[in-house]
Amino acid sequence: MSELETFLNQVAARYRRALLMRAGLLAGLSLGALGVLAWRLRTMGVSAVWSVGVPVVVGLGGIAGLGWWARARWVSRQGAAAHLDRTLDLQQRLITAAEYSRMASPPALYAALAQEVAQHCSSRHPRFPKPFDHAMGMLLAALLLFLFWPHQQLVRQAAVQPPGEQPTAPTPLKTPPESQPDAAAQPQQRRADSQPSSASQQSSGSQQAAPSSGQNSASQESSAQASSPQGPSSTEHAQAAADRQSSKSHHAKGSRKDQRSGASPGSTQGTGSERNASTAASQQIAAQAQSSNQGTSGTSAGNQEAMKGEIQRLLKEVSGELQELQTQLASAQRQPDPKAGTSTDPELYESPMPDDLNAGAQSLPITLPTDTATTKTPRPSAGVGRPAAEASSATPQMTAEQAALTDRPADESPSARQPIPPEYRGVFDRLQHDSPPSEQTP
Amino acid sequence: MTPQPLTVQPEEFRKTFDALSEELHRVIVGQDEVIERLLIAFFAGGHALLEGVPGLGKTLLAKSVAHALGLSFKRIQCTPDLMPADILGTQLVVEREGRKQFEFAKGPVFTQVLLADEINRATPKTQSALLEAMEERQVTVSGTTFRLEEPFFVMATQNPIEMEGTFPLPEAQLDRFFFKILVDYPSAEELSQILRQTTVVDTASVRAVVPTERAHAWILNARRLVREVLVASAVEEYVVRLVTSTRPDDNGADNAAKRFLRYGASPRGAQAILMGAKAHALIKGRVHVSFEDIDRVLLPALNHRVVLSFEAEADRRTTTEILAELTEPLRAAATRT
Repeated sequence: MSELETFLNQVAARYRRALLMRAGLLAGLSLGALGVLAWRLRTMGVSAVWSVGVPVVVGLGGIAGLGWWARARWVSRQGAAAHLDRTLDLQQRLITAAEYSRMASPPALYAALAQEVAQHCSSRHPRFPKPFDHAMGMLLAALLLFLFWPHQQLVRQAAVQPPGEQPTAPTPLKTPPESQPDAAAQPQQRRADSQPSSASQQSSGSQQAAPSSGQNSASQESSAQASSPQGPSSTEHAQAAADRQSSKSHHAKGSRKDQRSGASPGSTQGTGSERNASTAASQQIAAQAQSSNQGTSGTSAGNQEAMKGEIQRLLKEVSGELQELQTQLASAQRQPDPKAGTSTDPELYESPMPDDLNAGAQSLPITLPTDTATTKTPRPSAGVGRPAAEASSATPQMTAEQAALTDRPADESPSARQPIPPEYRGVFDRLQHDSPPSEQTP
Repeated sequence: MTPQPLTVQPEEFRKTFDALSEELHRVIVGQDEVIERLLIAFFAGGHALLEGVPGLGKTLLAKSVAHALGLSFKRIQCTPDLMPADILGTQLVVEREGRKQFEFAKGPVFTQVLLADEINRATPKTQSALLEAMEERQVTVSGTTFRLEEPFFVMATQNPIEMEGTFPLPEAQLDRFFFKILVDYPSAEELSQILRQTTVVDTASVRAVVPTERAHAWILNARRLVREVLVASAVEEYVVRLVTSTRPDDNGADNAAKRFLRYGASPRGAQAILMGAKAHALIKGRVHVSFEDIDRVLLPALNHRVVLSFEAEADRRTTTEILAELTEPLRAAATRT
């Protein structure tokens, strides 16, 4: 093996080593990033299928892509020569020398070429690709970002959450809960701000009630803040339900068209009394829940029992009303149904015609003169057969014309048959009898 | 098989080439590219077609090359009444030893450097008389074949503006020219120098760089050296891609080739590119061909070997423009890999 071949083999090996190092680094960083992603998803409470399966699939795809990438960039000895030619501006000296070096009897000028190559390579030093580049830096940054992103809050929520329960909405990663409180928590905070003296007791009461309800938060303040983005408390749930019900009842008072296009079609099915009853019941529940919340905020566990009893009583009332509504509904269903597609079908026509129009079976209030006029000339044959004498005499009479063949030639122009005015008759006769003038050549 | 030793070394070739170029520049002001291409065509073993308007020194250049190389020189002024026998020679009846016999009188083609001035004024019959001489280096008259003396180099000139009464060279004959060299106007500075050199009593003349007694051998060895220059397979593939890119009917033909070219370059064009590149590499002091050498000789080797389409002529597109458009992406790809 010649010196040139040895040199090219060394260069190719260095390129391959650099490529393999780079591929390994890329693979390691990518797998690390995917592992961290899987761990973060798991701590956020995402199911195992998604938190593990997706990173595994992405990782396998990435490894396959990396293999293809490394194979496409695999450097042969000739490839190393071409790369050196390009980077060292050797003007294809190395690839030429590499080709001729393998020949058993190289041509006469090969020695000169090998000498040239040795001179150029000794004066210039090739640069090899670095395994760590921008792509690596980006991947490393992504990995570090995943690792050190503030996520204690998520871990705490996952620990607080019961094992079978899924979070209603994941907390956004970019905004910590202190900076952007949830919209549902804002009214509570506003209430606390507007009642600095009396509400302080309430807030302290609610803060004391939180640990008693079983939540293992570290501090009371943080527990209140942590629960707000996770979802409203039972009081807030009731308040929100009451708000929704009040909005529904407000919509129910609107027109029928508005009710059809409303967001709650079920509420529009019932009658007005049913709606009023259900609305009143829900409002009562909301009010009771609010009052019970306020009541429990300053009381102990004994009060909770009283509150439970009150809630049960309200539930009974609501169930009674529901039974009443069901009976009303059943009686309404016993009435004969309108036939579909007929005028009794209320769904067929938008609004029925007023009854007074059809009541008297009266025709349109317009009377034409022809409706009452008497006929003076009755048709004798009622329009069938021969016409009346008056009518037949009034029609234009046509006499049959006898057709006869003319003795004139067919190609005679129609103008010739026009009558000749008498003042020109003589001229025409003369022209007809006289011979045509002959042309005389000079 | 051991390689035969080279009589002419690359360094000696480069020095002689530089000396020739310098000597020619004593009488020809400027036109560096023309002189370089003419000498490349000569050392590559081809023939050159010089195209330019009258008065640019084409005939002077041809004569000077012959003198500088120490070779015999003859000139044919082509006219419409020039006959093939006027070029090749004819059988004459001579009386010798009391007997009359035919004897072949050699024409001007029997020389080493032949200048066919205004070749497109000769009739196609006369033009074709040069075909065998240019390609086969032999002449057949009355069934007798005569070998031409090596080195045989034909330089033809033609005037592109006076087309009346001319006979444009057929494609077959154009293809036999190694290079078509376009001679352009000199610049203002060069024109001033021309005036200073040629309007005085003592005008410059060309001396023989290669002594006449050994010119024949030296030139043949130099031509062998050119053929010995090393070429990598990647460079050969580049030449092949360049030539095939000019074929409009090829499967992967470029849009420009399909639109503007009627016929592409022949294999002889590829040979001309590679041989010219070899000679160019030697004059640049290298013993191998690079992509740069190929690019340098591409236009003179191909611009008379492609036939423009009607659309190209209607759009007034030149062969040089179209070839540059075709080869630009190939050149970029070759330098990337």
